[in-house]
Amino acid sequence: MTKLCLLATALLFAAAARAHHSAAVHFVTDETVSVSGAMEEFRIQNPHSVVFVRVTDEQGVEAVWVAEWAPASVLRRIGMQGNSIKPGDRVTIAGSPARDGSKTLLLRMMTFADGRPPIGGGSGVAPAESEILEE
Amino acid sequence: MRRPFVRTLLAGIFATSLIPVSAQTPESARDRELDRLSGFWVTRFDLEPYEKTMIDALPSGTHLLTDTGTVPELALGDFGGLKLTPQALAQIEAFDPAAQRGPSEACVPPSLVYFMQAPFPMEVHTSPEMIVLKMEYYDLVRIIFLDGREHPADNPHTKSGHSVGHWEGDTLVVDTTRVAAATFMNNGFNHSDDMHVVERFRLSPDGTTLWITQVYDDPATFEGLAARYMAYTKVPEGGYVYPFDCNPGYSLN
Repeated sequence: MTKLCLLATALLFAAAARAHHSAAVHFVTDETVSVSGAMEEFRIQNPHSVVFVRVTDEQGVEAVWVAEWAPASVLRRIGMQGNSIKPGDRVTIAGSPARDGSKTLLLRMMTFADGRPPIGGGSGVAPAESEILEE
Repeated sequence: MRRPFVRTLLAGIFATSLIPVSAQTPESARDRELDRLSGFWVTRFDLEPYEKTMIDALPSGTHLLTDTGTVPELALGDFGGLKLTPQALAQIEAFDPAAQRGPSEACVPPSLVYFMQAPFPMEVHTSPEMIVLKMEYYDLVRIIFLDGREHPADNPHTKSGHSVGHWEGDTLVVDTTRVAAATFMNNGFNHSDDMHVVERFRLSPDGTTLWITQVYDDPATFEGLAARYMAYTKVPEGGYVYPFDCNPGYSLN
């Protein structure tokens, strides 16, 4: 892995996405929520990439969770492309919940059911103790 | 016979001592620092411990903000200990956090007051007359003029402002005005377009780290002086910034 790739990886786990909007203003940054489900859509873009994950709760009710992720600039430097995560891929996303109570996260960690390496969020401090909401 | 030579030599030494330090930085030393500055840099987040000499060089009484590096951004209502003016407080009262994530503001770039600490790389291109910082963040560009020119009175306000620099030993001191009003702390507190920024750029002895301080003076929005400390790491193999191409559609979830 080149040094630039290492630095990009470091950004994923340490960086705060500043300006355009503040993490602290919109998300509860000292809490972590985790949900698992199937990827609906992955948009790699700036200022934030976005993932949509369809989650089924214990009552069988489906809902789509939206997570703001690292900028395309960061994800592309670790080799990700728009098709790196496909619809249907089983994932667990963990991050800071939105202050408005919506099903929105500031993504800090994505793990994959197929065992591929997890990817950080590039969105701030280390995640707080995780609260698993739905499987 | 030696006396006239000695007198001349001493006179020359005395005259040289009257020249400001900045003018004494040898051209070769300036060229060396410009060469070391040139390259591809990525934001550094492990800032602790701060480079003490950079902090010691801050003007007396400057309030050092600590919202850079891995420290989270300031929350609503937290202004880092600064005393804000009524003008600033009134503007904060009208701040709409929801709009900040909406399509109308999602792609509004910050000014150099905020974008220099953003987690995106920059290309630095240097010449004896100017330094160009090509930022990946919002595809912004800064030009730092080194030719001794003054700030123009009619330069449009921009997010990068108008910057002039001079050398003080191995430190590049950059003075910037004409900065368009923009966020100061990303929580509703904006600086005015009268913001005045003085930066100090200095390279570590091994050239792998670029230390930067920014000192902010904006009496329209806060009292006294404030400062931030930040740093960049050089990528030895080089690199290029990617197009940022901001997409406001991300906010339309």
